[in-house]
Amino acid sequence: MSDKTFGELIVVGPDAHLHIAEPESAKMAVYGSANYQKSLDAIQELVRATMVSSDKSMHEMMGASMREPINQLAKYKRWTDIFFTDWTLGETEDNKIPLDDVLGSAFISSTEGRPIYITPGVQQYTRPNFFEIKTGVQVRWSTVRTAGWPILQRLMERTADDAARRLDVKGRAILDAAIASVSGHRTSVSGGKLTKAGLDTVIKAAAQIGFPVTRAAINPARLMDMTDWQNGGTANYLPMFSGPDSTKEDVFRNLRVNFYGGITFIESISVPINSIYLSGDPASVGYHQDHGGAQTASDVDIDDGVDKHVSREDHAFYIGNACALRELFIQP
Amino acid sequence: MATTVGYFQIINPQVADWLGGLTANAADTLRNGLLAKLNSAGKLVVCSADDRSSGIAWSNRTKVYAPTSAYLAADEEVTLATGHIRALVDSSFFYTQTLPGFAALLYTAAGGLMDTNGAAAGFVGKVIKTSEDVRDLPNTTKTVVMVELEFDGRNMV
Repeated sequence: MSDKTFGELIVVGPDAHLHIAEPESAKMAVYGSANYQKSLDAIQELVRATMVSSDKSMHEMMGASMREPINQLAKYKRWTDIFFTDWTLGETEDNKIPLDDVLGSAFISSTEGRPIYITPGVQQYTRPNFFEIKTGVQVRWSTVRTAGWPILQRLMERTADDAARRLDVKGRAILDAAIASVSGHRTSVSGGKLTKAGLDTVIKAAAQIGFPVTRAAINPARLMDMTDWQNGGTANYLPMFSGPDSTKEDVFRNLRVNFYGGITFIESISVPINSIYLSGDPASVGYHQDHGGAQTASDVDIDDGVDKHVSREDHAFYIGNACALRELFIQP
Repeated sequence: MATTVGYFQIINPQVADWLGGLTANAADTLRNGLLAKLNSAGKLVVCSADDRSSGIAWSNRTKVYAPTSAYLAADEEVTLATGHIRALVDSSFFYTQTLPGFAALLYTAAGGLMDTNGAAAGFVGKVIKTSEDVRDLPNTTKTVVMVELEFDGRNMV
């Protein structure tokens, strides 16, 4: 099919036209930066190859390949992952998770009294069920030839994005269930804005029980509500301006203050605008189990002239300490 | 999540009799701390209201690989703690799910639990201390009571 391979995604065939790479080298069903790096590498290789070529068609092809359609979909950014500790498992590994037993007591005694021994009981485990995310992409060779731009790459990115979205939907459901299981861990505030008082309430409540919140997943626009914060009864006065210079600069440049209340705000446009999820260290919250990694496969259908790529992944979420989780809900 | 299925600590294990080699009759009914009796087949079952109790069921299920439940399987080996027992107990081991007061008399109730109401046949003991508390999640305490339970051979079938 090809005489030269540029990166893993794009190859130039003997007819000096762009083709999608051989299936075995086109395993692109990876998430995030790794995927982008691959596509970047491929384009850079193409640029390098074009520069050393005097072939006019090569240069035309280069131009065509760089003129991708302007992307109308915002890049998805995973956010539930900040609340889970990653746990990678082999295919045959047991995913058992030991469960905590709330035992351990001391007692006030008189001098002659014997100590009371506390004995652990049944040591239990749990095995969260895996769910499978599948992605599949098939592209006709004729489509690739006539498109003139790396259409498969765009498609792969989008399917990877949607797999990430599915993962977040599952992760969020687990977070919501855990938060709902502990009274008072979902704080609802009215007014349609993130208020200092609302956020302070959550921070204080978390500090009170010994599981302080140190990270939050938040929509960037919601975080910018901070610009409306007032200091006490002094209108139009941002309390951040009483802080260090870096804080003032942060407000001017980004319309929000990071690290307010000791919280690292992880911004993602994929976080629902009216919900802010907060927790402490993910090691004290739960696990995200990845069972066997991504199983990818590619094939070529020469009858139909189609390249096919699929990816299958098994995931499971588990929360061991719902007390470390909180949600601040902004009533619209 | 926390798995504590109730706080039941036998605090005089040296005094109690630990009768081993028994088996649970049915799955998902017996666990540590429940009042149990031997049925006509010599297997251990949880007590019902006003049953004569043979003792307290006890198995840490260490012969089961990674158990996901505190409840015993059918025919799983279990030990019966019997004789004279003192224990610290939380409200989950009482039929009304509330702690009885000091000196309350205790009887067998449905599900192997204890209750302050019952017939003489089901009498098992009384509350001898009410002033203890133990840690509870996330950073609180819960009150437990100390009970004195007496099981003797007459309770055996």
